[in-house]
Amino acid sequence: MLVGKTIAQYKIVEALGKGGMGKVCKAIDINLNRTVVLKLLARELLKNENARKRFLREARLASALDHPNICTIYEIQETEGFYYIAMQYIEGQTLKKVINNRPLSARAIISISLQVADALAAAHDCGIIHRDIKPQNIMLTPRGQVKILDFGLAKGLEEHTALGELTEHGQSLGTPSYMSPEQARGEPVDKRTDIFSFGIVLYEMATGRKPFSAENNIDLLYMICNTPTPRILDVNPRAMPQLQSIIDRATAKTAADRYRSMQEVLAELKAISSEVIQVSQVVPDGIHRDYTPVVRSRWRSFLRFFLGPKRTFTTNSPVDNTPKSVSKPPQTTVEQLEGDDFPLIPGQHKTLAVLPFRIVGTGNDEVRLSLLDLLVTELTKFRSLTIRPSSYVLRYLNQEANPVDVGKELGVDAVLLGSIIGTVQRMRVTAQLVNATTGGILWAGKVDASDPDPIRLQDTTVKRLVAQMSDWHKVNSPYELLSDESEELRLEAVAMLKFSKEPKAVEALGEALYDSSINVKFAAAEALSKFGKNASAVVLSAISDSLRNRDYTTARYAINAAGRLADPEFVPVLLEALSCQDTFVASEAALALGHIKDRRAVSELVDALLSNDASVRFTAAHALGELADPAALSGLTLRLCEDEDEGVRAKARWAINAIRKRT
Amino acid sequence: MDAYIGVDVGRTTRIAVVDASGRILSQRRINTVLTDGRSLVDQLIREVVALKNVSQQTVLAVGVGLPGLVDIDQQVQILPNLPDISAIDIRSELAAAVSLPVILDNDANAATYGEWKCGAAKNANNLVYISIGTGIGGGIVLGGKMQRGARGYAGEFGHMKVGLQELDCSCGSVGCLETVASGPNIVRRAREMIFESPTYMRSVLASKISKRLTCEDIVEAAMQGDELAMRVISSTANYLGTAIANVINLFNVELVVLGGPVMTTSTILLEYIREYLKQGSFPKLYDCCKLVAASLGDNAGVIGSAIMAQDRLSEQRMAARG
Repeated sequence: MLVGKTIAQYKIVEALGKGGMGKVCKAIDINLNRTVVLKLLARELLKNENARKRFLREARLASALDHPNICTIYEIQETEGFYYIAMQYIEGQTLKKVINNRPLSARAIISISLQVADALAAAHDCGIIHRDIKPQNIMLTPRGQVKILDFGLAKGLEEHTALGELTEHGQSLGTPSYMSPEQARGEPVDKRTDIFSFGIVLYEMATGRKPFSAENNIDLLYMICNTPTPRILDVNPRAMPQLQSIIDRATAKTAADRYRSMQEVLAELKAISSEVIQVSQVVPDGIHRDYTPVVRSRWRSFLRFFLGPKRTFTTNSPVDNTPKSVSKPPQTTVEQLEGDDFPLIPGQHKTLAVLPFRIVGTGNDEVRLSLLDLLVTELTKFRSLTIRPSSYVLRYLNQEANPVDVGKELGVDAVLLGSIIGTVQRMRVTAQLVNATTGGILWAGKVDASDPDPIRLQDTTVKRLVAQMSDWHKVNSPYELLSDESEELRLEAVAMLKFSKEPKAVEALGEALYDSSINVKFAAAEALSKFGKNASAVVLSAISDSLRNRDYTTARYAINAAGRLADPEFVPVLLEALSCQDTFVASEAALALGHIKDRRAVSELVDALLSNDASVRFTAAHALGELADPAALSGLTLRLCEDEDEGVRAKARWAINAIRKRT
Repeated sequence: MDAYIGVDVGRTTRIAVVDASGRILSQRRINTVLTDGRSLVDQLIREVVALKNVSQQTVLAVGVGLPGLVDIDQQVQILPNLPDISAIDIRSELAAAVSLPVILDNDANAATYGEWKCGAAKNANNLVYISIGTGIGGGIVLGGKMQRGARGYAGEFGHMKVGLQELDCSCGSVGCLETVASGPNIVRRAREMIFESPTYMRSVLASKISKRLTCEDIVEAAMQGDELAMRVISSTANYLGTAIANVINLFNVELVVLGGPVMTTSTILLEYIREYLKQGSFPKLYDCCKLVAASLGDNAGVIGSAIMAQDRLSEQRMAARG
């Protein structure tokens, strides 16, 4: 048990994980009062001269690198029987967690990949290969800055022979899923192995999955060596097609077929970045843009609580002006804004337990208990929150509790935990609000405060902490975002309003149908469908107005909303739209009439089968198939036999089959 | 010079006089009468008789390829894309009209025969030919013999089940390859997708939506990098590649020949299919199998029908001689 131990000037406060080489801990540098990560060579490996050499080489190489996207090494030491490396502690999430089996947005992919590529290019220029590039080794700070971790397997280009000595026969360094074919075969590697792994990471960002997976490592390595990298568009049809050629070349099986350098990759990424995000200046200083995970629509509102908005959020404490958030804040729905004064925790009836904060360094239980009581008192001011009393949580005073276990034990939705560092007059409190079901961080923040009066210091600290939590929603009003210049934010606003039950939300979404972007119009149409009949009036009005004003793009998407709502009240206006001169309006009207399944539409849809417009004939055939009225059979049979368009014939066949099946 | 008439019936019907080596000596193309089965057969008889009468060669037999199920008794059972002629004894009527032996077969079998004897599969002993057009059909040659199955219906590749799609098929089943990968269904899927996402409004196909859209348009757009078209082509290739992988795994053929109107227009599709095929088939079986495009183009059907008639006549003569 390392937690609590002090190695040199480092007091270990948390075990972060265990790698192939040893343990990784979070520690406080007592002298400099800063948080660091300590990487400790496993005791059992200490006797192994090769492992020790490899461990020290890692630090020596990595410390030679000075780049904003590479984790900084502070020192390498041997003491008290431990070899350790002290390195920069980076707050944020690994790329693995950010991807979380879902594709990222184009902007996020470009931002992250540019930074990773830039860092690798710099490392390669210094003759250093990473050899284990993978999402777990790529950290993302809350600002979206990439930090590459773990040059533990890095190999100096000039140290080829030495590496051969270190690598035991049959032992491949690296992580199988991201290994290059030559690495998988145990052959000598050069910087092109990183290019391959980078290509795999790019693939994973674009699709949410790894290109190769198998039940065991042997099969996996075989696939890496022999199976072509699948196409991203087949896995994620919304992926950027421009990435395909980069991935293909980066993951070529033969190293000679890959890019010759990361600089070449970087150049191609920069070329497509201007197309994708329309930003001309990229990676001026290694820091680009905040990352923006893309989520599938049905998870969107749920995940928003975990991933936060796309705008860069930083909350500044009155005490100092540095950004205080360590993870992105959740966003709120209108429903929550109206009746919910603590939207950080999803749900209507939410319960919260505040655990005693850990003391880092010197401190005593009095401070902890006092802060606990203060926090509980402050948080009870939120009407929508039920707080477990302090007495419930005292059992966790001297133990490291898993928030999910605490959630189960106390029957709460979320757990607030944190740590305290400082003296009687100066204090830093960091806190995390953790979803007790998933273990995901809903919010995190910190407060630095100082005051000669210890009681006032505690009061101030707690109030600022709670203020941070309660202020998030104020910057997130979807109504404000709907008029933002950024299409992305307007889309986000529509997504936020989708699950609101507010009449105001329906009106706002109705307005969004008139947005200049067809993406927003489409999203608004989809969102309005969630409101059922409550949205009918707004949609009806949008269809009538836009048809009258010949705003056919708006009419199209308003009609799309009508189809989704499937309210028979729309039939008259849709029949009017069916004869509109605009192809898309008429076609959407036909599709909507099919969804509504009102037999009043049959004869006009049969007439539409004779339209000169192939799309109208196609959608009319589709609608008649949905209506499944035998009266349409002869018209459809004529289309099947005579239509000049193959698609219309196929659709007519489908409709005929549907009618025959139904009758 | 001896010659044979080959007929390839479809929405457009082709009739050709073909010599013993498979060379087309003369041919005509007519728009098939689609009003009813009787009219269709009458037109067919009329046109074959006319061609025979004007031919400068001595026509010895007639072969007819039909887009449907033709059983071993030479009866047409189903023509899913044309008027029903199952009640008509087309072989007897045609034979009486032209006073020649007549052989009927499925059109894909005829095209397979054509490619096998005179085209891309010449000299191969184990092959499958798959035709992708209005429907999807094919023929199987194993051990140097055309395989027709118990009742003559073998080779219905278009009705292999390919996974998630649950569309009703003309055969009465659901989820058949043909419901997603035949020419009309490729166009259908493209048309549907245009309405699925605003992203596709940028597609060149969206700008042509009011007009007639063809597989050729989709292929052309895909070759220019159009996202929608590429998705359609890629998913089509996925369906076809998966189905062909099953065939390779099952028969260990040395050659797969892809023909039909869709393939005629699309080399890009062949490349995509190759990728999926590789993924879906057993590596050893894939390694010893070539995937090639048909070489006779849309002549495969008429040539195959004619050569099939020639071979059948030879067999009958040999049998008669004892």
